[in-house]
Amino acid sequence: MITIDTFKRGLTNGIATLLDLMKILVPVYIIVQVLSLSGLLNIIAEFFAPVMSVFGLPGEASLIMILSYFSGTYAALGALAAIELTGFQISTIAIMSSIAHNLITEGAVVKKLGVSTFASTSVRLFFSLLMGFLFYRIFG
Amino acid sequence: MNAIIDIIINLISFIWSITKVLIPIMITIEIFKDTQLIDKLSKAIKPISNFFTISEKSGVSLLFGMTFGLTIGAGAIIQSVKDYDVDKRSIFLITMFLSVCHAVIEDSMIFAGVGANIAALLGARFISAILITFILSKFIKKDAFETEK
Repeated sequence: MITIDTFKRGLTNGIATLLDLMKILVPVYIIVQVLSLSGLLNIIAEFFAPVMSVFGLPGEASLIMILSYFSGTYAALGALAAIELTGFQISTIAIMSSIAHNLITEGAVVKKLGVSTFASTSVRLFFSLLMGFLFYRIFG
Repeated sequence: MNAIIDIIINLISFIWSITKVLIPIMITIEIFKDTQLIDKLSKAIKPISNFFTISEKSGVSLLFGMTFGLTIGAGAIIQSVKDYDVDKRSIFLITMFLSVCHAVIEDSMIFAGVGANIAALLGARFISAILITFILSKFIKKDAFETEK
């Protein structure tokens, strides 16, 4: 039976869970934002530019991947618009980025569940790189 | 100064983006519980929870996370632990699945918008998630997390 109590409980649980998650999400989110604005990610991206040919991508695409890994898919999309890419290359980036993105924030969420951030992040990076590589090798 | 204002604005819209999905989902979960829909849903996805050898009730958290994202999935998992005392092994396996494969609708739509191949995107994510969860479920014994304590 659905009563007014159902909605009250849902709202109370929702607020409790929200506050619980915010305790870790807010500080981590601020760290990621500062990191993005600091220009440090551009330096990291430059370092990884030569590796991008493994996935059939131009060197500049390393910034898209670094933004995805550290910040998230929306940040990656912003960088994607600035670089000339083929449809196939966009698909490769989409695969790699959708598997591994926003790793710092989502790593903190995973930790909140009592699961190892290291395990979750390394699995995501592994499959991101593997699937990007396989997609380029098999279909490219 | 501008950077600080940017961060605050981004933070508020970030909190709002989670709030506007999480609260309705938590109310939906209560409605599911009170109408016994959660039992039917758990039964309907029993083949999936059996395949990954996770507890029946935790399969529902998997569905929520897959559809609405990791944070929402985490909310559903936290609630499922309170309601049904879901075991740590199931939580670990679901979290590994969701780490790779979550928010499939939103993520697919934003990448489709820039011209990515959606079939390839979804294929790669689901294959990765199913593979890692299945392998881990074979390696981690049923009582692995219980004996740890």
